[in-house]
Amino acid sequence: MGLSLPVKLARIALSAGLAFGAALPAGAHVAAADKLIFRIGTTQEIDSLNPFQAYLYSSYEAFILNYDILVGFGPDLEYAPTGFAESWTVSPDGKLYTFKIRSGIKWSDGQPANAKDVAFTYNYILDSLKTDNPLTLFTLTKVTKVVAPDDSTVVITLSDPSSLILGAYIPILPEHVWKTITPEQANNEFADDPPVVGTGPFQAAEWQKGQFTRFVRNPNYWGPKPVMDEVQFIYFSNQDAMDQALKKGDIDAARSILPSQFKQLDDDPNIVGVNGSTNGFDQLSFNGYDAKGKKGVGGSTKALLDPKFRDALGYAIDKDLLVKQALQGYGEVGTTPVPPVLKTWHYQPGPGELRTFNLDEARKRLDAAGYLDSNGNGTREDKEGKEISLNLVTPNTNAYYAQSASLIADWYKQVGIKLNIQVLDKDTVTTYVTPPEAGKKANFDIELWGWGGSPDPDFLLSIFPTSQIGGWSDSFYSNPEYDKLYDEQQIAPTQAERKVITDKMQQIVYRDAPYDILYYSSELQAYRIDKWHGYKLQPRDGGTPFFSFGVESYLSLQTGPEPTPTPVPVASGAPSVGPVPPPASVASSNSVPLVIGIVGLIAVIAIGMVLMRGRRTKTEDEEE
Amino acid sequence: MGARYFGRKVFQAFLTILFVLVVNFLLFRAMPGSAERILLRNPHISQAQLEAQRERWGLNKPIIPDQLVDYVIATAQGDLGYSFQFRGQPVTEVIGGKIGPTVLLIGTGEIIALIVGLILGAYAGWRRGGPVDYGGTAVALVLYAMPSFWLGMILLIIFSTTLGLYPGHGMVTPGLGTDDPVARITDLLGHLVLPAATYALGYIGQYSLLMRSSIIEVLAEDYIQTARAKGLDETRILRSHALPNAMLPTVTLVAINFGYLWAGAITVEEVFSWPGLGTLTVDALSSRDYPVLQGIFLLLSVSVILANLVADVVYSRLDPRVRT
Repeated sequence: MGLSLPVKLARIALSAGLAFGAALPAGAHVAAADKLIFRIGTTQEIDSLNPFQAYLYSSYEAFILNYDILVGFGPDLEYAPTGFAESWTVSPDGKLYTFKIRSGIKWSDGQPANAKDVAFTYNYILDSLKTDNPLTLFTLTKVTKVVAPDDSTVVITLSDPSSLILGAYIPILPEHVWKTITPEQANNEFADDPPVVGTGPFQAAEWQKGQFTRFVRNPNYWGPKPVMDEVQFIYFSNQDAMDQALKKGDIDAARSILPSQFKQLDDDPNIVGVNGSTNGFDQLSFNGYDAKGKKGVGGSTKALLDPKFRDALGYAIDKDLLVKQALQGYGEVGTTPVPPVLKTWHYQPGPGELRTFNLDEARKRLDAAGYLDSNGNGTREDKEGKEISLNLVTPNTNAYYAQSASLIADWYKQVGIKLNIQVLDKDTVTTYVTPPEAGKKANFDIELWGWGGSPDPDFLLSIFPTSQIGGWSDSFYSNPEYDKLYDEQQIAPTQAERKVITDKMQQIVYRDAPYDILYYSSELQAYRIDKWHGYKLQPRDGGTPFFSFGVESYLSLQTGPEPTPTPVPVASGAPSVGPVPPPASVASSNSVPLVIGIVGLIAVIAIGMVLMRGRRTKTEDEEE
Repeated sequence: MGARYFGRKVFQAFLTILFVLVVNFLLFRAMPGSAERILLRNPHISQAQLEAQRERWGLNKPIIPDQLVDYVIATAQGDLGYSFQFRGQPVTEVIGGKIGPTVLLIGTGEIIALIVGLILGAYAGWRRGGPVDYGGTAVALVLYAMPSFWLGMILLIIFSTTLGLYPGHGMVTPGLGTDDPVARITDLLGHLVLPAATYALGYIGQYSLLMRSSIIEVLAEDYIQTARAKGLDETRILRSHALPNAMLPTVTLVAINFGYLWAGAITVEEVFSWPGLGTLTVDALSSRDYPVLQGIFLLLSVSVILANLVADVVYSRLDPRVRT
């Protein structure tokens, strides 16, 4: 008999499928019409093109592409005339800043941009503070008046002398677009959809949610013309897929790559990995909220409010091990809130102050502070006689948080403190750490999370003053001496004088330990050097080429590999706390042979079963 | 086919949908973490502003019955609310844009899986003990057992990264720069190959195994012997007698599977960053976007219920014994 029906159908289907599948690769890589495009992969999609509604790190890269700020940041995060302002002067009393605005800037839609737009943007924010819809995402510290007497001058008046105005990371917005948007709209419905109007080198032209955002070169850009026609952010839902895409060349650079992939990517001759120091830190926040007897509010034990208790626990954590295991070597041991990457401002505790890993010391200090294990059951009691059992909340945003937490729980247990871990989504964690001043109950004991800062240390120091309880504070630390110093550093006349104050502040915070800062984790990025060269790290020492505080890389990239053989910057970490140890034992083998091996094994099993099936060639036809 | 049968099935479906609506709503409210946190990610907000936002989004009314009733009525009118995550964008718009890609992916994958799986299974069962049977069953079992996420990564590494044949990410090449429909369709299809293959491979295993055992069972029936005795040739027996009867369990399986299709869609979409309902679900879950989540689960529930309704109807057409 001829071929049975199933076989016939199978043959047709198989041939059609093969023909179809084989034809596709030829068409799958349709060249994007001769445009030069630079693609960056990220797993964090921007959340809004409207600066007043964006909270995510990735969104800030979009803003620095779309817009300019008043005063830019240079290669070492120093103030630089790379924004709207060409130069600036300060009055002798420090309260009047006069900015000279460069001429010839145009908005991407062709309209002239000048000092009036700066004044408009700053006043837009200041005026909104008096309404029901204050735009509080950006702060204009100490600013009372902003005026543009002519097209090339902006005069800013301050209530107290403070240089913080120079670090204002506020995108300058076009008056002709934003004057019709009310603060309420800016806070809610107005999405600032593409095409965005800005003065930066690239403006968002298309945003397919969940897929990509395309930024097109600004034909009216005042600065050096970038070589690429478009910059694209490609959004990946999966970090492995992103790393594969970089290896394949579908993207030119990637941010936040996995530590497990870093070495493999860096070893690729066409890719360079950058081990950048984050401008931020990850910490344990102790709940220092004083519930003053109110039930259901605050932490589970008063011990958390005792600096001696917190100080003792600081000796119980092996931060070197945390960096080695949880961060796989990509990071540095944590100490004070201003991270080492801000070389000018970081304070490193001296040998007498620094807490080292020493479980015996921790036990000794806990005993001395009055937290003893009276009933001998292995767990200490607080001064009210209650067993100390702490609950730790941490968001699920980073795998290394949960890993760190379980290591810490083990150490705490060894010194007689129980720790229960809850990994939750970030918004639930935020709810738990919100105090009654902002409508919740601060029901947690320890929070494991992190902060990111700006080039000026003011922000990271601003989480500790009493005034921030109900605002940024999640430790509810309250120390009048610190509060006074905080206000003083904002108006210190010179950088040297300011540094004296900020050093003291960091000393106080380290001593009182409302936070136990665990580490400064690295921001790992990687980029291709076969198709592009001219990447610039910001800051030069320990920074990254993208998602920093400027557009230098975008402006200096050229196509092709580096023309003269120069050693390419590889895996640099910030120097101040010793060299970063190379990752202990990272599986560096390529996964392809493994994959081929598995597929081959399956094929062998299938063939084997076929060959060994025995002599059963007859079907049920033969049953009698 | 009785109109009464059909009418009863439709009514049951409707009641189920209503029940699902209520449960959906309550379930999301029961989870820890409050909705207004999303609206107010800026911790500098004052109590007064907090209250104003709660009122604006209707979060200050009691959950039962006010918010629930509002929800049911609005849904009936086609208003699914506004997304929390994508400030102010209607849920119908957020979800609407993602349905197409997911249907494309699942549709293509299902069709391939059905055709290949059924043919493979039928042949394996027909020629039981033969090489296709043994080899095919082995492969089918392995595919059935494989987690689709893992399989997707393997295909990505082999066919995209190493061999460079297909793109491993997304649905289209961003900024293609051409409006030529042929180029755009080819680009889309190129992106579709790997995700659809991942999806299909998982189900090929399932369908072929099921079809194989169905066929074997059917072949043992008396009417097959009768047909042979009557002298009909094998192809005719297979086509007119064996296959239709063996298809019945498959119809049921496909309908039941419809609920799990989305789970498969989520993992496959996550691997290939395919911009469909799968990735939207994951995003909405991590950002507590209640309205979007409710909308997705409503859509999911309705489609499962409808799929089962269609399965009931199709089954009753295929099998006259069921038509009471």
